[in-house]
Amino acid sequence: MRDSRQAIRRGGLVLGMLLLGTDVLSAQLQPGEFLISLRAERVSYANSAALEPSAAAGMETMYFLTRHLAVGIQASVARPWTKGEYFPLMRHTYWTPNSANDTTLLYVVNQQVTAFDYGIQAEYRLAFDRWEPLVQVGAGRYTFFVDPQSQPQSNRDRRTFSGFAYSVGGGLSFAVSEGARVTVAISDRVYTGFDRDELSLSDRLLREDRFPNPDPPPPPEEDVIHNLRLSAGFSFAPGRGR
Amino acid sequence: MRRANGLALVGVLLAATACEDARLPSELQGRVYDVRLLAEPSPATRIPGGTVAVTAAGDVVSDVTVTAVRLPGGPAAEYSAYLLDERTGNTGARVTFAPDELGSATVSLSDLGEATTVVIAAGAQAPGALWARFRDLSTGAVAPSADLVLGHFEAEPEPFPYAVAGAGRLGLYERGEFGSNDFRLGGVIENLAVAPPGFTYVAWLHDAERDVWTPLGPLLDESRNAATGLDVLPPPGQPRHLAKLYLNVEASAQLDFRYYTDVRLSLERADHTPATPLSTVFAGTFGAQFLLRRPEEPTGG
Repeated sequence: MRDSRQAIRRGGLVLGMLLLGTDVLSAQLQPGEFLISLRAERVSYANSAALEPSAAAGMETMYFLTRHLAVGIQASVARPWTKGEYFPLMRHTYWTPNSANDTTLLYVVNQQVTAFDYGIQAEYRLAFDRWEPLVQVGAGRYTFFVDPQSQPQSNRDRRTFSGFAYSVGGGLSFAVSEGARVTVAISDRVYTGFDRDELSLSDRLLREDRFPNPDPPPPPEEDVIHNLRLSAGFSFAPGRGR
Repeated sequence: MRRANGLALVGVLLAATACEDARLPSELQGRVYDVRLLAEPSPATRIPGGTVAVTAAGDVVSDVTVTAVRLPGGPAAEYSAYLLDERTGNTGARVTFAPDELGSATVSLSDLGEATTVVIAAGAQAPGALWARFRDLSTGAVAPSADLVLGHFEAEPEPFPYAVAGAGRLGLYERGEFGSNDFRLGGVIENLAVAPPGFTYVAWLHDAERDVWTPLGPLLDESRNAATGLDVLPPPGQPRHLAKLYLNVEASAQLDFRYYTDVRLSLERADHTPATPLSTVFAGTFGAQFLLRRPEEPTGG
């Protein structure tokens, strides 16, 4: 009974301090301070995107305008594999001089691409003791670098494609010390103007047109795709004690 | 201690996200036993045709006897024939008839003395699909006989004869392990000549050893739906051949491709598919690599 009364009192104190904009702990970031974060990420691309889920690494730098509001930049890089089964099969026909061989082998072909996601973002962060829930919104661009060695002969010059991206997400940060935090977050990375055919390796000279692939067909193409990014990271505020 | 816990958590998450499934740049998805679909030898002798014999007194036609052969459909298919004066557009009455089991039919027409041409249609009121012109349109002289020509008689600017044209790239696709016998027959057929009015193309599986025929249903369009209108002739100035057509047939308990030796394509009435084709215009023989897969004693199919 005494414990619950203490908890209520403590919660009320935190809420009151929040409303008054007062620090709960000295760990809370102050206006004019920077917070630099390194993240390990897992990106699950939209089902229609023809991309396998991938690990990614990210970094962000946020500048606190107030105790709660920060703006900054972020970038992340992933190395996803394409889903070759979304595209026509490639054929390899064996021919002998007398055309006696009548067999064609069919392959699904994939490539590993490099995906950059970068831009500006804004963050609103609360503080409850050492716990800091936060929400983020961002805007920027995505850029895919395709594997130059895998490109079909008919499209050798293809190197990159990119488009406008925006995001919305949230997370929870835990202050392990005055200047250091660990954070887990989840966000929806929205890519616009996305053309999954850019990921196809099907050379028009070698693609198999006799048998549709896959059967049944893959999910329809989408111009705007929603990608889920889970991240865990370590953050530090330069100039603060650890 | 708390800092160490935090760093350990980050480390674990980093390791977890770094674990990726190994994936190869290319993965074998199966093998296709290729089949080339080509026109049969002497295709002109495999399509509907025939002759007409004309009896005339001077320039006046008194009787025209039509002897048609290889008309698809058999006794269940109705055809009509009539005389026409192409100079004036006058026509005689349509006479309906049906060919016998072998596609042969004989019809006599005698109601238009100034006729220049006899026309046969695949149906009581259908457009002309065979014709024979027995009178010289400029001199008016009548020939005692003429050959029937298959095609679009009412095409602009002049009748458009049918000629067997096109080719196909077919294959028997064995997915998965070699020996699984999980086959699909598929392929694409390109540049097929437009079928005469009232006709269409039908694909068949054929076993030359047992003389067994199994219809494969209609050809498919690019969306893999049943293709229709294969007898619609594009207007003058446009390519007068069909868009790509497809075959896509799954094996089943009732249909084991290993019991067959070839694929054929025949010209049939659009409204009637017989149990066996009278004659075929395209053939694709299965290759040796596939025929080696035939069981000792075929029982299926």
